[in-house]
Amino acid sequence: MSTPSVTDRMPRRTAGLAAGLFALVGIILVASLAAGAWPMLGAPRAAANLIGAVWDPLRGRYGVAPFVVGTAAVTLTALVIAVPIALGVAVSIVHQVGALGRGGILRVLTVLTAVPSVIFGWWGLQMVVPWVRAHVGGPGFSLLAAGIVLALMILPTLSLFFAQALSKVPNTLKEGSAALGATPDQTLLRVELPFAMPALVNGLVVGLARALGETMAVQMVVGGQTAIPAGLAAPGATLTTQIFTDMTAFPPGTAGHAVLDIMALLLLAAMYVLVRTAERWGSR
Amino acid sequence: MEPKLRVENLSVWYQRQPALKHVTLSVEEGEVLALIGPSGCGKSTFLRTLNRLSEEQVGVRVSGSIMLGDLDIQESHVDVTQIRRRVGMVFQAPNPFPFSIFDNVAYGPRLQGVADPGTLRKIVEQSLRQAALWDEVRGKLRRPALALSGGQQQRLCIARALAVNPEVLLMDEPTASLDPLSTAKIEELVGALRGQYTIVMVTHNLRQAARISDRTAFFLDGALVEVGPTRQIFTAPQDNRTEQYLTGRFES
Amino acid sequence: MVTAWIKGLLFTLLALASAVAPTSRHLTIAGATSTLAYLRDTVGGFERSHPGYTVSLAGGGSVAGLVEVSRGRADVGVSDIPPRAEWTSGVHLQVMPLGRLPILFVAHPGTGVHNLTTTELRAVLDGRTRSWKSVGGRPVPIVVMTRPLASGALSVVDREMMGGRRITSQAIVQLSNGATLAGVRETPGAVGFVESGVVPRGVTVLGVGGRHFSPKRGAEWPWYAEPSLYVRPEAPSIVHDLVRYLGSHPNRTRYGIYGSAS
Repeated sequence: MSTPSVTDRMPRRTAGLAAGLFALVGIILVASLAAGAWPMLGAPRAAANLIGAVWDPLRGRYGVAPFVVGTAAVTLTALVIAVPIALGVAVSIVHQVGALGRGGILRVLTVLTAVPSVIFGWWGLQMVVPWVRAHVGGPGFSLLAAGIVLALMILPTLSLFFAQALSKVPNTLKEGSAALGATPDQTLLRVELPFAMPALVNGLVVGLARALGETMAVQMVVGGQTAIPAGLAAPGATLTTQIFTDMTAFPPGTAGHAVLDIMALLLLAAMYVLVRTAERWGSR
Repeated sequence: MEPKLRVENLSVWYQRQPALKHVTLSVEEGEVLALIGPSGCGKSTFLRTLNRLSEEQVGVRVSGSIMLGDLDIQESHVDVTQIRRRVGMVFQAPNPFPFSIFDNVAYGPRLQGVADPGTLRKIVEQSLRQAALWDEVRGKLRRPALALSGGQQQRLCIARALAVNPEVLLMDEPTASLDPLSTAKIEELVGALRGQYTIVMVTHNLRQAARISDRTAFFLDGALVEVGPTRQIFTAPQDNRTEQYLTGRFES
Repeated sequence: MVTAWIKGLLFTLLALASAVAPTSRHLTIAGATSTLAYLRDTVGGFERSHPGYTVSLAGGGSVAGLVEVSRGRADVGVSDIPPRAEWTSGVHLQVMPLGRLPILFVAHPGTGVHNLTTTELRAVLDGRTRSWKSVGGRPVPIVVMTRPLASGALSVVDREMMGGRRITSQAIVQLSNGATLAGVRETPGAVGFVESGVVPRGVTVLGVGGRHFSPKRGAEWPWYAEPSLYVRPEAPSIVHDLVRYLGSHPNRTRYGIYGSAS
């Protein structure tokens, strides 16, 4: 048969259709957010209002700075805690444990990535909030508590990505390093980590994106304060939690809804920049 | 004269599978010893035992003794990284690190704590000259090593091994993945290094063994069949099995 | 085969769509969560007296309730807040008040404070007073807990208690009545407000301006939400029946909904 039959071409057509549909949904999403945000962007002195630090929508003050600060603080805290631990887990998976233990750990981590975020939030409410209250001070509901909960949430994902990245380092390179008199630690630091760096950064971005976008688990422990947080132990809010909290108060068409749309766009833009940066980093 | 390496009654098992059986063999200082034999005969295993690289694999057990000078490298208190600085290795396929040419050669010295840029530069130049690569890469030391051709990469790996100033150089089929021209260059290089370094080289290429080695050892089924001056092994082998192998009666 | 598959898909979508749209056999109530318990326990009686009809309940908050009913996506909206034009898109809704739901001011038991004047409470909530010591209690920092903007309780507190001032922007925002109660119970120095017709356990219910809450005289407590049911005037008569049933059921006081607002 020289020309493929209709049924032979079905899979590729279906795949193409799916990809097209996916792109379309993305474009519609961004377009609808932009359309929703438009009235606010066109308002007088919109930029000054939006950059401001005061969030009092009932009086027309729409400063989103507290939430940008909150998002950055929570995400960074989570990464600072999670990345070193995840690297440690990944290194032990690749180097220390036998094949049997490795399979077990990988399976546990995979299961942990699927734990719903509300469970992590609940655990945070029971354990982390009181812990922060007792050991750091403040009301317990805090950026720090949210960062710790998020760190635990992204730890399995990060560990899996890091382990994957490290296991891709060719054995010949590790042997080459060992044959030159490198200790296992030296080989790890000087050959394996540099070689795996693009893949490690890729994993980091996936973890970061998950941390940036997480709403439920953060909302349950972050406190939701709408002023610029005074410190890590102070309560705060992130872009996503604030959208979630005020969503029902502002039906479509209201000025408040337009601001929430702007916050969503801001988040999308941050993700886009992040992914592009990582791509550039990875292709070096 | 004391031999550089004296291997006595060396046996190696992978899990329960014996890979090397009771091998006793000496390597003289400054000579080139070729290890030949069909695939799976144990010659690569033997080579990787000489710098204890075999123990990186799970489930490997070694018995017997390997004397490097008057040091038994099999003893557990011996620092394995020290042995590997004295016994360098070049692998079957070129395995340069994904760094610059300079950083590849400087890798070993840096591990030993050499940090002075002037000293490093000197070591790198000297090693690249010894590996006959200097003229091709001078002024391009910051370029990535992976941009070099296969033959150049293998000579870079030799330079990298020489940079830590080893006494013994192990070569595991160093030309197996190279074209004839690059192979010739490596062979020429081995000839130039003879006398300065003690070289143990695994090869599948019988003519190569004949061309460049002083002595040749023939392995079969994990055992050393015979070892002797290369000319004698190739012209008048003592053992019937050696002759059969050399005349192509084993699958290699 | 492909066309059959597409037909099947279309059929499923149609079935789903018709299940979502409000029909006369299946009635939906959506909105404020403060009276959800009362409504959930009471609709059963309506279903028994009107065979063939089923009633389902959804939360979402007061604003969502008003939005959903005015757009026809719910038959009945429940709200603690009076409707605004921007929520109802100008649709005129009929209202049936359920009664008064007291809003209590509660504090962590460790503050040492049981009574506040209205002025003191206002200063605590708007963030001017920062320690319980300033109002006669222990030297514990004050942690204010509030509710999201869509909360009916917050809008009542804003209107009836704050006298034009705002609750501090450093307040912790709790998403529900229950979360506020749990937060106040567990956080030293915490103060907040909850909708409750009974005295909640584990917290101090603050007396305000010399008044003390008692369930026996719940109708006299001056701070309350007025949860009401909203329907479109052109809704089928069965919806009006449902609203009348829920708005007049004697069960209400058992859920802390007192008296009649009118």
